Amino acid sequence: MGNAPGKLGDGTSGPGETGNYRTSSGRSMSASSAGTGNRIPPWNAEYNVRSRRGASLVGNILSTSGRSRADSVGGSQPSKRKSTKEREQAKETHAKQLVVKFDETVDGGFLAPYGCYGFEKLDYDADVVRSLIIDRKLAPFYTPLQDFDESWTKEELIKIVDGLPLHASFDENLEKYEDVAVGNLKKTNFDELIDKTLSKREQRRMRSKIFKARLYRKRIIWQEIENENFLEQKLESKKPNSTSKNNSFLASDDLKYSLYKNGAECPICFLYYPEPLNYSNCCLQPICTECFVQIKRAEPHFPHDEVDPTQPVTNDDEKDPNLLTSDPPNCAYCATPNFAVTYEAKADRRVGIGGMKPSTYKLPKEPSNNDIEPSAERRGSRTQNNADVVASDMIRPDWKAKLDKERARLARRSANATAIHVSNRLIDPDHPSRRGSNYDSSSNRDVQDLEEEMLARAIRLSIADEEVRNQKKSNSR
Amino acid sequence: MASLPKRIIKETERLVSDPVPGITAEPHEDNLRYFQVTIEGPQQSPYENGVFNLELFLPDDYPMEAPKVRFLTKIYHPNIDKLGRICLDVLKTNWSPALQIRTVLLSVQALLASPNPNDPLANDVAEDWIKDEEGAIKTAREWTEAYASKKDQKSTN
Amino acid sequence: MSKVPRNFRLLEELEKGEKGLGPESCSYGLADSDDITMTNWNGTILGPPHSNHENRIYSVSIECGPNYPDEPPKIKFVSKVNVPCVDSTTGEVKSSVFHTLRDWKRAYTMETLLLDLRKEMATPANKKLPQPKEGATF
Repeated sequence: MGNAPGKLGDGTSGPGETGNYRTSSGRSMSASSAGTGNRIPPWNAEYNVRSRRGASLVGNILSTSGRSRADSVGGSQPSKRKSTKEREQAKETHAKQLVVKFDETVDGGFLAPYGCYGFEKLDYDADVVRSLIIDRKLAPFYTPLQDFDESWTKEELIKIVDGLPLHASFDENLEKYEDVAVGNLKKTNFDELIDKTLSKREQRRMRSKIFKARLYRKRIIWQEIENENFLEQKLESKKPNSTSKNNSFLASDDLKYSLYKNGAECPICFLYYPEPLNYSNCCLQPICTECFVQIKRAEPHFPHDEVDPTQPVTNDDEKDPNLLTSDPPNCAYCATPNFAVTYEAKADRRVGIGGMKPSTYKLPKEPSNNDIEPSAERRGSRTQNNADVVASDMIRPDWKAKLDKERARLARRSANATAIHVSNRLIDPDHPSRRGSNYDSSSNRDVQDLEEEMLARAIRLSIADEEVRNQKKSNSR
Repeated sequence: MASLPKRIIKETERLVSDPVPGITAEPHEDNLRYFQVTIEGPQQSPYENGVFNLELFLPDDYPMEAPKVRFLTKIYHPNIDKLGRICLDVLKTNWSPALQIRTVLLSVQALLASPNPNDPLANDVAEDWIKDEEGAIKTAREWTEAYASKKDQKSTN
Repeated sequence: MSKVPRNFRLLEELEKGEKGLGPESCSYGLADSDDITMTNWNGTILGPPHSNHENRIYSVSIECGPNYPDEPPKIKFVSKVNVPCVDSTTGEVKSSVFHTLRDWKRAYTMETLLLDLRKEMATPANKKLPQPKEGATF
């Protein structure tokens, strides 16, 4: 995925002549153009009436990609337990929202990330992030350049941008899914892949692993369909007599140039993005959206105290679960608590959803003046409206539910541990816990085994009790 | 994701083109996320004149997750245990993705200059340090001489 | 995906073992807590229930060579045990017989190995094999 000037097949017009543009997986791109047919074009004729209309279309787009927004709000509440099927469905819906689609474009960027970070790390609330991007409160996910060279001419730069794929290439053979059979991905039911001779718990584990492997594969396929689509549209638009309306999603050369000629390197991924990036609210440092959505609370933990080395360390098992905490992340640059960013979209480059057609964008007459001013303004007096600040917690509203869940888990675990320790000490002189080995109760323990063992111990305990009582009786006689 | 992230490539290049005084870091040929590191003991510290070997690994989630760093040379220090594991906030809770290999290694070097026995990893060393700081510093010097002396490094290399 | 180098992989396993994060039916730790190369390990396997191993604790020693985890570790029973995949005179687990060693994968850990051995002890063919006196060693 270098930045070698890409090529767009037989484009007789335009700069991208000689072509070896490939889909991200390197597969042939002759296949399906399915999916284009039933797509809702975000801007047909009457859709130049700005934002209000835009909002309803946004709603349309969001709901075509899965659940409605109302659903998702309910879904993020920690209310009732969901069934396995429901949870799988929710994960699949989430994964669909992580597919980069060239016709879901905002100001030349997209609503889903390019793929610098692993699929499993994209656990932010996609509905929230998509809305923030559409509302221009967060920079869109732009396709990054690996490098940027000041000396590139306009033509060279456009050629390079033309060669950018929608999404980074995938690692198709992840070690962890190496020997997981995924079966027929078209079938929704994969019960037959699960080994029914295993215990219930192992079956659940197997199901979860197969589900993950299947979802990983499916997502690659979904993205490839989009990639092929995108490529076909680009090729189509390069044809001299092309009149296809679909091409209105594609960026004009002026737009590509305007985006990438004055970009900046994100200090976290070191990739080159169109300006403006998001800026930290505290210290005004840039951060791309792809890195921003990675920044989140640390896992719930106990407060880290300075310890007295002469005192024994308290085991986490013995601490009060209510002391578990989780704090909003700090600014990556200056460590100010509660990391938040702001974004000021360029008003004269409002294209895509809620704006003009990307294909019709023309560079303003005197671009240079406009370019310098916003950043000068930024550094000067910035009276930032609070409503426009995007805090890390906003894109992962489930943090509280996670903390409560972890507290409950720990409470259960320490209750179990106490019960086992007590019973061990009472009845089993050979139990490892009496001999100093570390058989601590752990969350991974097979619940069924545990229950079985607890029962057995309870029985033995009552027998022991009975013996003691009998002994007392006989002694008192 | 399949290939090495640009950030790691650029960091590696910059470590070579603009090295940090007293610190070297080179990736292994067969694993470009795995670095062979040396750090010189800071002056006016018990580790002065020592050269310490370390290993550093950039996990999959780097830079969202801190690099993993370990001493390979034996060292007597309250925040470094017998296996070379390091207790340093920026490697754990205070990691920030804006930090880099370079800054992490500088922090490790700074830790050598200012041990913190109140936040120990090696409990017995920390205890010594609190009870008898002078004696502990002496031991640290002896260990530096014994395991990290520059002459030794040269002869073994 | 990147490959976690041997030493950092072993540190991960050590941490999991130290914190007791693994399953309760086995445990493992460094034989020599000073050994910076982390080569020699001790492990225990809690005999599986409903078998002749029930309530017994088996000690094993594990050697993770310089090419671990690309190559499997060597594992040897210290406690006497009667299972076909274990050499009856030395206690070594035979890598040509025991599938986890034979078909070793980089993703496997010492925990995988110990749990698979425990499963092996509990197979219908093995669970009722006569066992040496408890506490006997190789």
